[in-house]
Amino acid sequence: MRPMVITGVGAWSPGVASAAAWVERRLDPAQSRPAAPLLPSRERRRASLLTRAAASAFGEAVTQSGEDAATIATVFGSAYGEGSTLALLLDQLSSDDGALSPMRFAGSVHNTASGMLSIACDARGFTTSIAAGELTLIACLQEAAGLLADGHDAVAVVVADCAAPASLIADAERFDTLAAAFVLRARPANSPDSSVLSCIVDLGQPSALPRAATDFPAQLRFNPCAAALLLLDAIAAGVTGSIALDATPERVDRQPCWLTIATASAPGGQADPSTVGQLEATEPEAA
Amino acid sequence: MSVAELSITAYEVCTALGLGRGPTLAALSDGRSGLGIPALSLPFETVTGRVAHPFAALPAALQAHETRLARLTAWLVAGVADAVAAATQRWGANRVGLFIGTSTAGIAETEAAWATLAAGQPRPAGYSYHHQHAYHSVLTVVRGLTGITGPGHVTSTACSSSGKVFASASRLIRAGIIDAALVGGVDVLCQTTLRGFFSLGALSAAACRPFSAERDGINIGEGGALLLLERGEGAALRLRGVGESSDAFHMSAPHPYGRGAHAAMAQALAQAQVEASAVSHVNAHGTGTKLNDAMEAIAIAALLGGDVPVVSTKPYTGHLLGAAGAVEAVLSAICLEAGLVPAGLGLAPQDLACAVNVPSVTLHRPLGAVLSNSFAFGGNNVSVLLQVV
Repeated sequence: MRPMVITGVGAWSPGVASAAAWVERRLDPAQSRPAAPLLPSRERRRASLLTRAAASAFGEAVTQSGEDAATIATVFGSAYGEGSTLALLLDQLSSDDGALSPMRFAGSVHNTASGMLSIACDARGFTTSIAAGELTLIACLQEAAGLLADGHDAVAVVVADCAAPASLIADAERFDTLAAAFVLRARPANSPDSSVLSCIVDLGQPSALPRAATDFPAQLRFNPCAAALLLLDAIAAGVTGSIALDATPERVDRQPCWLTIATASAPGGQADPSTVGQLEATEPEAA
Repeated sequence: MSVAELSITAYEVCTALGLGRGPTLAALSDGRSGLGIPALSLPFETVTGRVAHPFAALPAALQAHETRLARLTAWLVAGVADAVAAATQRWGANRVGLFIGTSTAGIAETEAAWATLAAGQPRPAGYSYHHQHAYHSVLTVVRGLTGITGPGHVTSTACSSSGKVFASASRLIRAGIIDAALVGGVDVLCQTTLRGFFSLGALSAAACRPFSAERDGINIGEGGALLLLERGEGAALRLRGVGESSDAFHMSAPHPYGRGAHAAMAQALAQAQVEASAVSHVNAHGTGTKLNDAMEAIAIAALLGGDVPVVSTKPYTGHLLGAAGAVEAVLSAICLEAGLVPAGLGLAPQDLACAVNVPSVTLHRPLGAVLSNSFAFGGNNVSVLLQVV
């Protein structure tokens, strides 16, 4: 399988305006609404925080990559989907007449961000919306690998999860909204091998690898997409080797996953300076 | 890029028509609908396609994931268990992928938990957002039952969800990452979907009537299907192509001229490298709404002409939403193998604006290839091309 190159990144979370803001830990408490410039203002007002966060991260990554939002294939990932919209519908179900809002119902589907952005960008090609719990980022990278192998030039992976309805989860497991995006291309054939970074997805391995930085905010650790922040950190730090994409290593009931990467600063690497990082997904080893 | 030969070596299905291939084929052949009075308490009239079967509890190790959806899935797994065991043996458990489409996941249990909370009581002890509500819960259940460890995800693009899993699986097989995949879709009846489609004015009070001049909306059904895809020529039934597109038009209404529907079907044919004339019948999305059937007929007639038989199985099973793509792929496969095109129930009088050939009686004839369509909220379209060789 051919390695993939990351050519653009994006992120949004309350207090985190962009991928760079995250990596530099420039947290801004005033940052409470995603800009989501790709969405028309009317749609932006109607959209959930999850969809606006995804739209912001997607826009940032696509702009950095120089790709066209109308033609790039998109893979949206979310472990729980439109949880806040679902909570509104469940409240309506519990009301006297139990009638649902048609607009909220249409916006409760897992592919709401995928659909709204395809409409906003007049993107008539490939889009999907997938879920795999804490492995959602990995599943999205695998889907992207399949699309690139099938001849797509570029793929945007956008992972996002919103805060779960507070009454449905334990207090200790609450998490804040988070979105992150990565634009991927197949590594050019003439790229020097020494700069190739391998991204090995491994399920169920012993936990002997470095983990989340100690300054990882508590309110994001349990977000199923927290792995994306670890990947952003690793790319920015030029990490070579294995990192654990697991912000909650103490959770024995969850499947941990690891990503082995090397970046443009790998020894002997002559990477294209326009690339933010490189990775290669390979099949997971048997557990 | 053409599809490397990809065989469907096993499948299992359950819908309101019954459990498994036998009762399903009999109902399709006899023109017998499985729709009936809903078991849910609803403040409006409609009919649903309910699977009235008391599914067995999950094994103790998977108890945390107990939902009706999980139990139904476990029943489907049992039907393909021998073939999956042979595949994991042949290819290796980590070379078998797992791709499941669902729109509801465990929402039925969340509705019950929310009602308990709304009544001022504590969250039910057995309820878990992570283990029951979550989309990936069904993956954990199937991995636990089968030992599959290859790449996998849930696709949730509303009503196209389990059509798109065929594409995810075949791309990774073509890329050499896996050699086989268990794909499918599951959805169960719940208040949110029934009341949601009612709120959109899309639900019919009676059995749906695709392509009829008198059609007035959809019915919702439940059930699921699993199919085992394997690299090579191991079975006569083949997955030949999958087309995927976006309308880029509206969140809950299709493009009026079927722009995205046409693109998805054309892409499936191109991927399979077959001519339009090779399609022996179309399993239409055919929900029975004014908008869907009108645009779908335009797209089918433009691509395939007006002679090819077109049928919707929605009046038989109801619309299975996230499970529709996989279930209708299996219904299409059963029809291909048996050489029959089911009658279009509730058709007369046909909408003359729908210039497609909907048979009013069951057709018995040799069939070659079927295009099976699923279109969804967000303007998400998929068309799956199956062929018997």
